[in-house]
Amino acid sequence: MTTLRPFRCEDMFHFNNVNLDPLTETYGLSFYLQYLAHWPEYFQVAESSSGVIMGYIMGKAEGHGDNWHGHVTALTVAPEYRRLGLAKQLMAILEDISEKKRCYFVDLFVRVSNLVAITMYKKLGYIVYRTVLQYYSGDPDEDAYDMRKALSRDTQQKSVIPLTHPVRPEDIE
Amino acid sequence: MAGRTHAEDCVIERRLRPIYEWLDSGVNKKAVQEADKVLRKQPNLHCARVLKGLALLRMGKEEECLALVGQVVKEGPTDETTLQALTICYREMHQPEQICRVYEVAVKGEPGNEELLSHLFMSYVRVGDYKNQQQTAMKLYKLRPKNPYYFWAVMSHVMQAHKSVDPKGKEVSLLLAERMVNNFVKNGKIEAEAEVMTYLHILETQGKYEEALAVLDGPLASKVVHQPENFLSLHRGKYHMCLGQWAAAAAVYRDLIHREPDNWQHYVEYIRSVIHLTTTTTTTTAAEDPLVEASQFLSGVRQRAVEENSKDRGPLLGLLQLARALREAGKEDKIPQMCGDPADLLLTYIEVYGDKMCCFGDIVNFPPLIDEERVSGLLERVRNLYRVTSAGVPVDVEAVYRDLCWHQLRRALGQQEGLTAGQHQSFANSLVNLYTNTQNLAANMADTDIRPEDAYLILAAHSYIKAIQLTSPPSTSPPPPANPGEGGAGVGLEGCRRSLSTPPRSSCDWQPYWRGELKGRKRIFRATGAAQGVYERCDTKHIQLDTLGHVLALQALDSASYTSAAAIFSATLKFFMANYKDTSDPLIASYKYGSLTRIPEFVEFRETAQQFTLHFATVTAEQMLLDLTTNVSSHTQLVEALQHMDISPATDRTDWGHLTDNRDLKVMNSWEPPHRRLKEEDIAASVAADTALLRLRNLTLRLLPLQGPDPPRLYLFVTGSYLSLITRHAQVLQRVYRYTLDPAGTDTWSSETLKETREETENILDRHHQHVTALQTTPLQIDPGINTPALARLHHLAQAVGVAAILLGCCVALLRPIKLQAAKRGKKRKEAVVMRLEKALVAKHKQTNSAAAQETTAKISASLASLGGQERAGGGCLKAEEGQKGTLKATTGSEVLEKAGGGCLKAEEGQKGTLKATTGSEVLEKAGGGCLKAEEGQKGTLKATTGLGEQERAGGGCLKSEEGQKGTSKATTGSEVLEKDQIPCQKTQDRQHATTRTSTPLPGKKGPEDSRAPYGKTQGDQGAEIRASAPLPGLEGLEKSGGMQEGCRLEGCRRSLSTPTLIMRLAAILERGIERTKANFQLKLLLIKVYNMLGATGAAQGVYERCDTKHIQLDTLGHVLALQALDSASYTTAAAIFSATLKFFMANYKDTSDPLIASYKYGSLTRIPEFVEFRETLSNSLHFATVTAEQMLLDLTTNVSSHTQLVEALQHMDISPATDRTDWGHLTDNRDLKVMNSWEPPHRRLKEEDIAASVAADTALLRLRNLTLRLVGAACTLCPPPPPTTVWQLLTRRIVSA
Repeated sequence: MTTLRPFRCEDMFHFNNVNLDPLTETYGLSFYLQYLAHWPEYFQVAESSSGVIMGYIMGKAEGHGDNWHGHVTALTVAPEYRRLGLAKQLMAILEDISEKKRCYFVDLFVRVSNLVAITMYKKLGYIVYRTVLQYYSGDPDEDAYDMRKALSRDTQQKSVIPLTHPVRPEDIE
Repeated sequence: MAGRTHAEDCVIERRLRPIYEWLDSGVNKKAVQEADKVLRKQPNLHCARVLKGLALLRMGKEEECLALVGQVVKEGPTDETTLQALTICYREMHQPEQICRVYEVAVKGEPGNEELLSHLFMSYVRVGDYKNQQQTAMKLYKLRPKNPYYFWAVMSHVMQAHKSVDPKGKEVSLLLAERMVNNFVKNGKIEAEAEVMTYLHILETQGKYEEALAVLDGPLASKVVHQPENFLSLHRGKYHMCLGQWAAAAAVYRDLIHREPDNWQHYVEYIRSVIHLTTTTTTTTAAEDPLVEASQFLSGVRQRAVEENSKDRGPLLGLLQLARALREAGKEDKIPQMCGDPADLLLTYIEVYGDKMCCFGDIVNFPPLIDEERVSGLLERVRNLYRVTSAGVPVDVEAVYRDLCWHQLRRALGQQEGLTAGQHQSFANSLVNLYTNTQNLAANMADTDIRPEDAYLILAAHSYIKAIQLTSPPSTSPPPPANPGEGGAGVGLEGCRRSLSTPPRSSCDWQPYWRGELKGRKRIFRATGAAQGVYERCDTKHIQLDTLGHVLALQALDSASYTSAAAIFSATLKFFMANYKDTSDPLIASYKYGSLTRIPEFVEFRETAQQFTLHFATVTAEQMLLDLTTNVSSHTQLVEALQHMDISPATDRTDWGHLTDNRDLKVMNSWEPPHRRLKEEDIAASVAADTALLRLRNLTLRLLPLQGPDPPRLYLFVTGSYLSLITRHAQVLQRVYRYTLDPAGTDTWSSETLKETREETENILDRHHQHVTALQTTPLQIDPGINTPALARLHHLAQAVGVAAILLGCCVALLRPIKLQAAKRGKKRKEAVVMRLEKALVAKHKQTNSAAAQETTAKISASLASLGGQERAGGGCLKAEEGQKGTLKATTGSEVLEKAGGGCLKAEEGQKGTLKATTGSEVLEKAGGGCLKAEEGQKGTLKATTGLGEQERAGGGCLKSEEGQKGTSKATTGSEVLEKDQIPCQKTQDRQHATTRTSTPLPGKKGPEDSRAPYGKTQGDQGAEIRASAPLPGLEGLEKSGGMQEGCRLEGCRRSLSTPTLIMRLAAILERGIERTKANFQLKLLLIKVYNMLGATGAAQGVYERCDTKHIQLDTLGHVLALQALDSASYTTAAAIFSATLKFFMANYKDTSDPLIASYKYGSLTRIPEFVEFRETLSNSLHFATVTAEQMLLDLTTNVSSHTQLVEALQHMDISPATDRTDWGHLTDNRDLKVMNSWEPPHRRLKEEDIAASVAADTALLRLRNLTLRLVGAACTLCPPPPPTTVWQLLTRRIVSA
């Protein structure tokens, strides 16, 4: 019931029903375009049968050596399309591409208050790798969980051994 | 700087670092200081100089920056840091071409430098110079044979094709690209996925799908490794579809459905291919029938999903999609056999997914499949799927969702079509009850989620608004025919529609008919005859027809000025010719000519607007003139002038074609709602024959759904005669200019024009008086149908008057030299200005003790006052002419009138003893529109003339009759003041006012937002009154919904169906809903709409801000507030939104060229055409163009109060006559209208044509605004020449200053 396809520039003209949601940030153009230029395959959109944008995922692959990993930059689903397993599908694409790129793991940041999302990621096999203090600026600043899931290349599951101490944003590479 | 040692580099880097740091932290002043420090040690350090320039640029000192940076560029730097800094600099100056030049020089210095070459390549990417891109890429490849470089060159060829308009060139470029790739393929040099993707892209663009399929089947396919799983299959399917290989395509998609049963696009494509297959193949046996096969396949998929209880929704809808496709293909008869009963299918789906919020959205396209007689049965069954209490309230959250789905479906199936306003209202009330009673069910939801019951509110809002729409026409009968033009508008629109639906010939016939009937102006017939000739000679019949539609629509501009239109026109042509002869000095000639041609353009437009016939006559005449001048060798300088000006009538005409291509019958649909109101008026009298038709059409009127675009602003603008006011003043200016060129000209000048101008000005002001009155009602009577249009009209009036004032100011600037000659002998006199409207407003305020709308009124009147001030500026400048009188004493008043330009007519009574008896009122009669000056001061005999009578008579607020002061201020001559001061009138006024009343503020200096103060000052004690009452505006009260609810309830008892009550209750309800569910943006968008209906922009803005729209949303969602704010005279709000919007669009350039470069770097070459297109879509945004034009007009009419300021302001604007960079043919509508939910039945849903209609109307209005701007630009160039400035510089300055 969902069309999953690569994100196109023109989708930005219609993604308001997703982005007007308070937890979804609308970035400057260059941000989206940079992802489209650099990691186009990681930027996928879910469209409903009536052509409405239901949600999208943005990601990238980065890091050196055994830190080479896929990263979820943004994952969002419009309110009326939640609880349909859409995020799971979108995450599956990202993980699949990361596997193909021979990444060791996939990671993402999430607000510690966003219980719905955290629960979902846990269900998808992600663990809280570490806490990043005051990662989200605001009033007040909010901490983030850095969540991870090992991919098949990380046979030892080294990437998902949780850190015991929180880190500061400037300490994450 | 080349050849530095490493150690030196380190030192330099260390020294520069602080500059970078200050720049990064935005402390530009410190950066300059730091740079100076470095430059003291190393005066020639390129990079430090450029960085200093950059800091200066960011401080708004563009010229200094240019000087500094330009010097460095001349020295040809080649070091990386300097070049990078230069790149940033030129990017921020929006001169990306300069970056190319800089790197070209650098590369010449170091041809073997790979880094520099690749930077050069990127600099070409920024400006889209594909040819140079390609050459540079090949140079790079030769220098370093890396695959990416080679493919940069390939992609540059592709982009050349992309840009090429010539199909031949396109083909050649693509072939070249393909051959380059083929070479690589043959030699086995293809390495990366990106290269294969590029190859596929080239083949696709050329339509070589067979070859593309071969690539998918070949070894290259294995290089595609990073794409999603279905990438290859999807491409294969696409290629088969393009080749018409339906069976193969169907097989591919069937396989995809197997693998991804929930991916909807597979179903759509599969069914599409099957339908094609059935139409192309003729099979008789059921076993081979592809439809049967598809039916079996889709049933199987569905069966499996049901059995497995899977979460995939696609399988359940496959058969419905097949039914839909069959229906669209006209094979409805096959539906029962192939798909079964759609109602059953739908019910199954609702059974399974009815408890999801998305259920209705999933099935929105399928209700039309349900037979009408089965509708109620289906609804009944849906209703029985969930439990409600005895009061009809759903028992749990699941039931709420199901109940909502039922409501939505009911609406979409047309079950509520026949409801009356009252029924809609009580239905809405019941929904609000449901909302209240279900709140407890989902009390523990996360703040970030939307509550299920919110949808009740949205549904209720739709019903309320429906009720309001149904009650509005009778209860809020529009202002009585505001002017003859309004009636004319109706007829014009109708005529337009008629003519669009009739063949060209008859449309020509119609026009004179209407005009003749309506106006009894016989002139038109003559012109029509001429035009008919033109028309027949023209090949472009359909374009003309389009144009005609457009033209007739705009004919409503003004009903009373055909004569003058014709006059302007002929004057223009004559003027043209005279001008040719008079110009001896080629430079001056070209300059003057260049500027003037835009007046004809404007006039031409005017003609178009008014008279299709004259428009073409103009074009032809101009064409002929041009032919004449270009073919006559003695006029070589004119040829040069023409080239210089870059005007080409052909282009111009193409523009019109483009513009009007957009226009069609549907435009009129969108005008119908206002038009219907016109029907109520007595226009029928003149068009008896067509009332029947009119009625018929009105039957088809449809109110746009809530998510639809707002009604076009064009309508109000066009019916208000604003343009006519402006053109009249332009005409006056034209005359004045002509007079300055040839004071002894033979053109017979009569006071007629001036009189008409004045009358028109007076009329328009009179007409707008009622809108002021309309606004002064109590808040509860503020109606969607009255309030907003009244505000908008006053806003438009203010702007029109502002522009007229500017034109008059130009007249004065032209006449000043003449005055100077005559000044010595000039007589002394003085005058002041009294704005009639102001007075009227004050009077009204005194009468009104209600606080209603006072602030609004005050705001409007204040802005009017400031605009009036400009008028005064114009008017005051006109005083300059009195000086001439002395020299002209012998001349009779009428002679003088002939010589003196339009706006600057001077009553010349003083000269003639015989004329001593002339009363001020007579003078007023003669004096032109806004700029009449009563000159009684000259005549001792007239001293007694009363000022007040004249003030009453004086038009526009720019009449000054200042007799009272004469005695006291005789010493001040208008002319002296003029000489001393650039803003003469104001000074004069100031002095005079000092002696008489309170001091007059320099009007217009401040923006309208703070113009309450000047207004107050102007009006002295009365102002104080207004200020006192200002804090209690009725509209703002809306924001406090609590109090308002109270009011509503009270009011509700009295008249339950009154529109204002309803709409305010609705606002209150929505406010409450948002309060509860902050995440629900649907509620917010609805509320903005509701507030806009009331003209309560302040309140709307509050909601808008809560939506937190930014970046691209300024383009896609800006339409909900930006222009509404402007039209309701909330200039602060408008200015804030405008400036954010312009900022976004300015950044667009940089934001979209960086990714282009990234694409080349990272190999996502196939995205490049998309990026380029996206950039164009954004920069051609209609919204952007509109905001830019409105912003400039706003600036001109609110911030300019003297001619000097005008010239200065214009320097910052790119509206010199020769430039109109708007790409009229390709304006894009980027509004995201569908973001709002809607459950309308199919025939009421937002249609593409509605959107197209609103776009066409907005484009037409933009065209008008642009021409107005250009007229001002042209007018100003008649006077001191402003140097050309780009729009970017203007915007930069605006933002820097903000």
